[in-house]
Amino acid sequence: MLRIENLTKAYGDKKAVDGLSLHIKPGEIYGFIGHNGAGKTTTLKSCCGILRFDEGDIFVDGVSVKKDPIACKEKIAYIPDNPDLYEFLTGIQYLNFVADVYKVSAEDRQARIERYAKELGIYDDLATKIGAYSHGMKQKLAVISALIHAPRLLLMDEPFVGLDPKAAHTLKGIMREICDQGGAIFFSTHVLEVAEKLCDKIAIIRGGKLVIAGDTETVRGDTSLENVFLELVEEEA
Amino acid sequence: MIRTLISLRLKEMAHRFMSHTKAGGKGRKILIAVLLTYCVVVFLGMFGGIFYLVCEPFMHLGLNWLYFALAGLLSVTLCLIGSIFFTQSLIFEAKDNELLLSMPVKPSAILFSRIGTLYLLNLGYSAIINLPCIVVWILMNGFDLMLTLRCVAFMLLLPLLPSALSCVVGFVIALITSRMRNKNIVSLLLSGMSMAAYFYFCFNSQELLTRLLKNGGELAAVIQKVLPPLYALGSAAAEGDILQSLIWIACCVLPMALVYALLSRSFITIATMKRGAKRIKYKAQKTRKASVFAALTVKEMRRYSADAMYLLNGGMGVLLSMILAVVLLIKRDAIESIFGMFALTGVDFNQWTGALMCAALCMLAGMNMLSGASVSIEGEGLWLMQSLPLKAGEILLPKAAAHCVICLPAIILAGALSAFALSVNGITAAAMILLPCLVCIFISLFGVTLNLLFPRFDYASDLMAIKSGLSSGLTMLMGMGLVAIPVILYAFVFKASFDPGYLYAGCAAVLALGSFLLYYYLTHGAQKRFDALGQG
Repeated sequence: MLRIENLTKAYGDKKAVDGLSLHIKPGEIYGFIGHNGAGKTTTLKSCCGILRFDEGDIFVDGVSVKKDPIACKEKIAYIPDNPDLYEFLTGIQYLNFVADVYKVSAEDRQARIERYAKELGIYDDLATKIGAYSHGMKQKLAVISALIHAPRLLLMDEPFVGLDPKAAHTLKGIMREICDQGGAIFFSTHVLEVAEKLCDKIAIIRGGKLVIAGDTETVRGDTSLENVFLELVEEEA
Repeated sequence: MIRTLISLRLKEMAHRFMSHTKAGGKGRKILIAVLLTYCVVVFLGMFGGIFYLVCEPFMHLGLNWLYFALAGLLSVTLCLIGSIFFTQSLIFEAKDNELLLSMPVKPSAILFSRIGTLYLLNLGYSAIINLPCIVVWILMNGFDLMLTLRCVAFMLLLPLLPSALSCVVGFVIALITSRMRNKNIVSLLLSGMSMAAYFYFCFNSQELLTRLLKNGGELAAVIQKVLPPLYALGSAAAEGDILQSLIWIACCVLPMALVYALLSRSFITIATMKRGAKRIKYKAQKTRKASVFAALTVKEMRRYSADAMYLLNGGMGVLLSMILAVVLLIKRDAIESIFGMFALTGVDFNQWTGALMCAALCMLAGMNMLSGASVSIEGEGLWLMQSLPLKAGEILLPKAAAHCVICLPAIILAGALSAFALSVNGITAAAMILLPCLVCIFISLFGVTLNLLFPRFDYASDLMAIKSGLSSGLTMLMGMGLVAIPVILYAFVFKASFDPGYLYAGCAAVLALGSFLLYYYLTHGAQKRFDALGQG
């Protein structure tokens, strides 16, 4: 579903991502872990065609992001770590806008908006301007807008930040459902307990380089993911 | 503590003007400094001219006090216009109110620092009027140390009065808008009123001045009766009258003390007042599918009109063209007498009227620069546009389209009303409607293109983007140049030797070609540039 091959991206002299390669298959929830500034957001933004990269390539369903970004974007949904949405629109106006851009039929969008907005507990607030939303509400709206075109691949940067426990639980359920239907999810998180329980596979990145990647059980080994991560960070120090 | 807080406010104000991207920061600072100096010099010169005109006649009438009272009146008015909206954001809607309240700082100290900053701002505004007032007086009457000291002291007190009034008005606006669903309406209304007052003053300044000089005595009696504080200021400054001096000091200090006492008692309530749009319960509606172009155009229109001040600044031409058309309908004689001046050249007056009105309408259509900051205002939300499965042209063209949808109806209406009011021939009438429309379309595309080439994503607000953005400024200049060049060529190079119908046709062809080239660039050549935005 998503193949990252030798991805390298530098900001000036500093390499934010250095020769990263990963393969996310359909049906997988893939966690992406790393300290602040490790290169997680850069990788995610490169995958969805927002950031241009210097070397390597990224393929979504076999289509190169470099060569045909539009075709890739049609299959992807991206949720950033800090959802700066259009504050001058109401929630429903924003969702309709995204649905129009992705050419979602009126029936499908109506059904999806109703389902996800109710499940995430934001339905009653859809007529309110996004500017009046709390961080958590914006995050919920970003999640709904990402799901509105039923994407095959969901890229999420810290999706659980700001969500209340119920919404976080709902989102985990939705993520599993997408994967059960043949989709894939690649997301970054600092909440290691969530990654440990939710992810089929995990990759740890440090200083732009991949340190370890594989099945959650393999990466974790006999200890906890937290211990593995801390050991790796200490090694660097 | 108060000094630290005032210094923080001043730094914030400087940042608003001087905030810049890494590239070209120094050049931008110099440019802003030059522009500010230019504005100050122009205002000093303008008010110096007014004081020079009134000083001698007032002296002959024995109304020296009226000279200083007039300066006081102008100062208070300028301070009020300049600081009402600033007061709102400085005191009542400051983003750091809660941050400062969480620190061991007395609320009264926070308020004092904010009012202190307001006072300094108003001191700057009033200096633009008071400095030329004092300088002209000294030039006309010779240097008098006591009078100069009195003037300076009273002028230092003066900003307290408009500051207090601004606080009261700002408080009322904050109170009203905090309970309103659409507070843009109030901002738009107040801005419109301020602008109308400004234009009224500009258009009628000569007449007002003549009336002032003719009826100085009557005016003095009115001010003495209706505005005693100004009489007190005038008498205190000109004659050193002790009683009037005390009255003037009281007029400045007491309102401010009262406002400070009242606001400091309720500052925590004001600062923590719940703001933002009101929550409305959503009721399911049948959704309708729209095309990508329509969805993006509607989104851009909502964006442009989300901030009343953005709309007002970017759509100034629309407002002015409507005013021009209405004035033309009501006071056709006034316009004809202005255009009549051109008849002195020996050219047919009617021919000039149509051509000049057409040029004026085109100029006003070119003044709209809504699209000139349309890329910059994406700001932090740029990721959203770049993550959509759309080509650059599909994203950029709706920005120009929204500009046209907002501006074109008023431009067409203004053209039609003007053609009707002037009873011009068919060709001129068509030109008065079509040419401004073409200018509008060209400028809308030009604005997007320019902003794509010179964007900035670090503006504190949409308003700053359109007010201080390079591309929006250049877009407006282009709009003016578009009109000035053919007018100058026709009038001075070709000496109006051919029918203006050919001029209209030539201009239309150039505008259509230019629009097509810009359209082609946005749809075929802008992808690389768009992809490069926000790449760090």
